[in-house]
Amino acid sequence: MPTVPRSPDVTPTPRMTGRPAGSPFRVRVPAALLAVLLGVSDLARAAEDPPAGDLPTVNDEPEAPPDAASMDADDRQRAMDAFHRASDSYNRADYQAALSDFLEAATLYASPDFQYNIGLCYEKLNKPEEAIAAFQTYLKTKRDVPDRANVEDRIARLREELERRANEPAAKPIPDGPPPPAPRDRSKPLVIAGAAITAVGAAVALGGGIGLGLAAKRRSDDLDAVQSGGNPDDLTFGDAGELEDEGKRLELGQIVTVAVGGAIALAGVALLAVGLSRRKQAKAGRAAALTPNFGRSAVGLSFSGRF
Amino acid sequence: MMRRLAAVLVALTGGCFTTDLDPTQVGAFACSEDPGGACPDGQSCVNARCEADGEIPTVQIGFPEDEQDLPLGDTAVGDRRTLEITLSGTLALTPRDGDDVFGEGHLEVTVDDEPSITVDSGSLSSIVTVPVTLDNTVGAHRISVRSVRNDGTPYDHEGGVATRLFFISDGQTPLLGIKSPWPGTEFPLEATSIEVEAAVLRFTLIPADPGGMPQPKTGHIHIYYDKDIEDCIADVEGCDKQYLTTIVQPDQLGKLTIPVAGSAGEFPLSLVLRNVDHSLFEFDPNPDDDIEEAQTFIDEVALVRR
Repeated sequence: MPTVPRSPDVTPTPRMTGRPAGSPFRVRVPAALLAVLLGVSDLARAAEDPPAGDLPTVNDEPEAPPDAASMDADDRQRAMDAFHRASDSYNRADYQAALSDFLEAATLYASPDFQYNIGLCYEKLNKPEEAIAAFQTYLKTKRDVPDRANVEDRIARLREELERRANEPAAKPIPDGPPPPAPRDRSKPLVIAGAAITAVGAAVALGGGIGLGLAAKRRSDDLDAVQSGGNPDDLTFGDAGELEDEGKRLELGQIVTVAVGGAIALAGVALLAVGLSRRKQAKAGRAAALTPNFGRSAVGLSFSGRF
Repeated sequence: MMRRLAAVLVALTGGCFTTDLDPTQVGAFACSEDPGGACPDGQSCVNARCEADGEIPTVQIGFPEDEQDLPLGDTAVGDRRTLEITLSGTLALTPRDGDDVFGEGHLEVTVDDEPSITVDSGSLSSIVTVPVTLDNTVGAHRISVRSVRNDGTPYDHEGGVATRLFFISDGQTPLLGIKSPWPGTEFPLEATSIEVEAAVLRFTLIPADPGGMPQPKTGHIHIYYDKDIEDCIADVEGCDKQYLTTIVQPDQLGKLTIPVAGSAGEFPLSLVLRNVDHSLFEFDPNPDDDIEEAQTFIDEVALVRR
C-alpha cells in the first residue's frame, strides 16, 4: 500500500496536485488551526467531509491548543503557508522539502497531525527510526486517535524494517568497475637503468667536455702563443693553420660529445624520474604515472592520472 | 650559487678553442725555404719570420752603377783612394745600440771583401752619400752593403743586401769580373748546380778554335770550379783543361748554369780569359816599353757549401 500523507479530516483539504488520478491523498491539517483561520462553522463543516477514496483518514479532530485562539496572526499564516508548501512538495515527491516545511509548521503550531505528516516524510526518506518517533509522538499526543490501529500497524512495519536492516551484514561498496590489479613495484629496474644511463651520459659529457675541451684549449693557447706570444716554437703559417684546424675539430668533437652525453644523461634522468615516480606511486597507491617518451629528435615525459 | 654554476660549466667544458688564425699577423709566423714554410699572401720571409711586404727594409747602391768603368783615381796606382758611394732604401737607420725593431738598423759596407764603414744615421728615403776607400788598381772591384738589425742579426732577405761590381780601368786594359755568385755565398750540399753571371770589358767573346790564331783582346772564358787556379794555369797534372765550361758569346755572360758537386766546405769559382785557341790570354798595357808586363785576367770568388 502506498504511503500517502494523511489528509486531514477537516476541511479545507489541501489536495495535492500533479498526482496521478486515482491516487489522491490528503495531508492532515490541524483542525484547531483551521478553526482559528476559518472560523468554527467552517471547521465543523470541514470535519464532516468524507475521506477521499480509500485513503487512510484521520477522523479525530485535533484538539486546539489552549492558546490557539490567541496565536499571533502572523504565526498562524506562516504555519498555513508552510503547510501548503509542504503539501505541494510532498505532491511532487520532494519529501525532503516537504519534511522541512512540515517541521517549520510544527514549530509554529504544535499539533499531533503535523507529527503524523512528519512521520510520513521520514518514512518516504527511508528513515524508519525518525518516522517511528514521529508516529509515536502523534499517537501519544493525539486524543481519540480513530486510526490508531493503522498507525500502530505502520509503526510495526517500520520496526520490522529496522530489525531486518540490523540483521543484514554490512553492505559492501559497489565498485564502479572491475577491481584494479594490485600494483606491482616496477620501479626498481627503471631506477637502476636510469641511474646507470645518467652516469654513463654524465661520464661521456664530462669526459668529452673536459678532455676534448682541454685539448682544444691547448691548441688555442698554442695558436695564441704563435700570434701574440712571440712564437717560441717557431711555428710556420702552415703549422698555425694545422693548429687551428685541429682546435676546431676538437671543439666540434667537444660539442658533439657533450651534446650526446647530455642527451644520454637526460634520458637517464627521465628514466630515473619515472622509476622514482612509480615507486612513490606504488607506495601511495595512486593512479598517476610518469611515462618516458623517446623520439628521433626529442625525449620527454608524459604525466597521466585520474582527477 | 652563480660561482658554483660557473665552476660546473668550466668543469663540463674544460675550455674551448677561442683563437682564430689571423693571416695578417706580422712578424709572428716562422718561415723557411721549405714548402711548408711559406708565408701568407702579402708577406715575405725575413730572418725566419713572415713580415709584411710593405714594411720590409731595403737598401740599394746608386753609385757606382752596375759594371761602371771608373777611371783610376788621382792617387798612385796601388794606393788607397776614396770613393763616395750613394745609398738609398727603406731601412730606418738607427744607432747600433738602439732597440731591435724590425725595419730599423744600420748598414755595414764592405769593399773588396774588406769591412769598410758602418752607416747608422741619415735617411735612406733620400740619398745617403758614404765615403769608402779602396785600392786604386785596374780591375774589378766589389762593394757590398748589408742591412743589419740592432741586435746584430743581418736582414737576410734579398733586398736587405745590395752588391755592386764595378771596374777601375786605365781605359785600355780588358777587364773581367764575376757578378754572381757573390763572394761568400753559401750553397746547400744537395745543390747540383749554380748560376754564374760575369762581365767583361774591352774583350771580344768568340767561339773557341783550337787551331785558330790568337787575336788581340779576343777569345773566350774558362770556368773552373773547385780548382787551384794557379795550378791550372801552370797546367799542373793537366788541370788546365779541367774547366767546366766556356763562355763564348756575350749572351752567355748572363745566367750560366754550371754543375757542382763535392763535400761541405769552401771552394773557389774561377773565370779566366782565354785566347781562341784556349791558350791563356795575356795583355801588356805598355807594349812599347822594354818592360814585359803581360797580365793575365782571372777573377775568383770563394763560395761555401754547407
